[in-house]
Amino acid sequence: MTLKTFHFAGVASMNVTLGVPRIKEIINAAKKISTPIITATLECDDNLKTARMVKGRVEKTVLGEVAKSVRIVITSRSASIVVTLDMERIQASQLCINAQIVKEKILQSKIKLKEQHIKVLDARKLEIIPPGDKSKLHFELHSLKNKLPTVVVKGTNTVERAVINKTKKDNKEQYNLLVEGTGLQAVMGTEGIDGCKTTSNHIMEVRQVIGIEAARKCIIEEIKYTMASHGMTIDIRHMMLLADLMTFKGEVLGITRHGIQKMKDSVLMLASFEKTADHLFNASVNGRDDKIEGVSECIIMGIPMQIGTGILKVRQRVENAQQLSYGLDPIIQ
Amino acid sequence: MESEGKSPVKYTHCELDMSFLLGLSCAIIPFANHDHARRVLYQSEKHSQQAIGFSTTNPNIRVDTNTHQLYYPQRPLFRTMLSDSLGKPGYPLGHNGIVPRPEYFNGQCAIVAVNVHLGYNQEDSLVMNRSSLERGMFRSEHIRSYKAEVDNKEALGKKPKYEDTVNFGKMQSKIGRVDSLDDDGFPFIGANLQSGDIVIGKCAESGVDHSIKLKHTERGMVQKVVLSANDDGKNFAVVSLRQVRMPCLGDKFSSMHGQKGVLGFLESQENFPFTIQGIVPDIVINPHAFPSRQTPGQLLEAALGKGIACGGSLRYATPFSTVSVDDITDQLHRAGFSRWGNERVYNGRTGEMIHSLVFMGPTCYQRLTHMSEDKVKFRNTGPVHPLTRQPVADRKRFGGIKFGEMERDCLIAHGAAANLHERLFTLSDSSQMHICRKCKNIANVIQRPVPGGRKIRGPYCRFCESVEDIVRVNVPYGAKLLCQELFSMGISLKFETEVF
Repeated sequence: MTLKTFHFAGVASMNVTLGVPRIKEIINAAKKISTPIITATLECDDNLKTARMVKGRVEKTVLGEVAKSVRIVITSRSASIVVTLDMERIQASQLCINAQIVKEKILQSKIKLKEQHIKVLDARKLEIIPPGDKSKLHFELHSLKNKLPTVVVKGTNTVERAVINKTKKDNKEQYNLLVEGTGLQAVMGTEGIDGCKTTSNHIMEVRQVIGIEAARKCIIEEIKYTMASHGMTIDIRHMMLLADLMTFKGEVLGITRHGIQKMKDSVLMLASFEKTADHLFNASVNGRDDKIEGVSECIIMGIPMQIGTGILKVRQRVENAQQLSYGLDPIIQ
Repeated sequence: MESEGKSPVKYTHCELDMSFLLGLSCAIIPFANHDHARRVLYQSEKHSQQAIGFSTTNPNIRVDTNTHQLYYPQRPLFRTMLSDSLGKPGYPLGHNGIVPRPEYFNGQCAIVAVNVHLGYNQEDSLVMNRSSLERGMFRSEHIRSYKAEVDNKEALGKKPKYEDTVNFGKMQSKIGRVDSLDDDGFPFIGANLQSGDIVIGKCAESGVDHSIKLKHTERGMVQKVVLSANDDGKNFAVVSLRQVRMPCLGDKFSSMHGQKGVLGFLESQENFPFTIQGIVPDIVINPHAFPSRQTPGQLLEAALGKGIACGGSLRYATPFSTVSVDDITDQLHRAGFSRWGNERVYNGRTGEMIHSLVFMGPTCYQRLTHMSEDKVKFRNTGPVHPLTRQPVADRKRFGGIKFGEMERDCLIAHGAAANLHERLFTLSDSSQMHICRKCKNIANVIQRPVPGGRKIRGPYCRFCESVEDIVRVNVPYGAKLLCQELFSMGISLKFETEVF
């Protein structure tokens, strides 16, 4: 396996980490990976138009894309920002956005505005009155005008972009959606996407959203995919063993010194792996016991290990063992 | 030019032969332009430097720490433009000119057959003809020198203490045998020394022995003893030992095309396949060495060499020259052989004709410095490290070979628990430790006074202050060391024992 290759997974301009860096990410159970991708199956997967609709719902849409204008209106009595939505564009992309939804989204966003500052004029127009004193009004207005177009009004903000992928199956063209980014729960809940068949390649996220067994399956699938893209096939049992080892404690533990620490509780084995002094000091402070069960401890203490041929010991049956008495034979019986 | 009597012709430009693109060690390689570049690199950078030949013209006068010399160097059959320039300068070169002496070339011409032979030449190994080795092919001698220094009393001027003066001399030594030394502390010329013998006897007046002893892998016959003084005011002595080495299994050889290989089997001459003329190969190389390495240069060299040996006129194999394959095949055909270098051979054991033709031809082979005698490691029990009581690491100090973590993982994967236990415990640092069963601590072995006046040495538990209930367990010395080191840090290990 070469060190780093980028494979265009069937779609142009789509990057997926492969090769040794990807295997490292999987085995270390990295909380943040470089190319998280969610593969979403559409409910209706042979229509390109519906696919586009779902893509629009999933992708992050900001206010600047759907607003016709964001204008500062200064009258003699008040100064405010008026946002006008471009209804034709919204209809064309089949999103259901209206001024009410925009108001809720602005309130949820990072801009510090309260309920009373935003007034819905009609289904297309919003008026926003900036808070604060009148002396800094101009500054407030302009800063709001710059920040408003970046408010996300539709879709999940952890999703970077979504791409429609065309696959050929049984001589029929099928579409599915490839979503770059995290946010599996939100994507699964989106209308038009079959949540039961959606999966991600980010193992920690799968563990969080779907559960530990799904995370185990995801580890196996990801390793299989990475190896297959380099033309190597491995028997599935090896990957099953690794996935079982990483998930047997109920959460996904990486094969790093933190993960191994949570997997095992033998002091000698952990001390012989990494961070020797720390483990020994902590163990002595807490008065730990170490049952010499694992291989490393048996080697340290010089006992044959208890796996393989060491699983059993042979006992010999001696029938009618002679009772020997030490000393002189009695003269008189 | 001027001796011819004509006026000198003026040149403005001169064209260099295309092979001058390459350096000396590369332009000696025949048909280098037919070989893959990596193989040409291996040959010119590595193998030509590691080949055994004639390294100096005055080997009898020099005392080097380690030299090799080939007994019978031979000039290769082919010539190249640049190898001709190694000859005596000033003589006109060409077919009648002086060719360089065979000592310039570090190899011998061997008859090479490209064939499988009983499966002993797989994976880059060679099968060689034992009879040709017994006749002296690829035999070489190796000279190793040992130096020792002693202070020169007259040069120093001041008189040091009488007991400290170190002299060369023969004395009864506990560290080795002194049978081969003369009275002046040096062995006589022609003495046969082996491992454990003393090479140079050096002793102080007080009786302390500073002699130099041969290590366990070295041996030889004394060739030269030199006594001299250097400018620092010290007398020094050098003893050279000579060893003759016939190729044995594991010695490395290489052709001139980067096809290195290790001797795999020595076959007797009568078992080899022979040709109609009775020619038997010296070296049998596996045909699998050629497809992935892409060195047809060796095959062309063998075909060209065959033609030259039969008296052909085509002799030059300069890289980038225009000797074409057609010329080589014509030369072979004129000499009466098959055009493509194949031969009809007959089985040496049964005498039957072998149905397929075998490619045979003379190729220049080199013997490389890597010999198995210098690398073989063996040990039963031997020196141990004083701190951990585990075997030491070097070959020089009679050490063992590391059985690392990955090898341990392989034995675990096989489930071979007893094998792993033996390898890492019994054969490494097995020892015993005393444990007190009452307080579960380690009990030390000390000498303590006993009522009655005597002192006994035995295990004693300091915590319980008693000797009852102390058991002895088998643990690796490393574990006992760990326990004592942790104890010194303030962490105490308690052991639970059970009767086995």
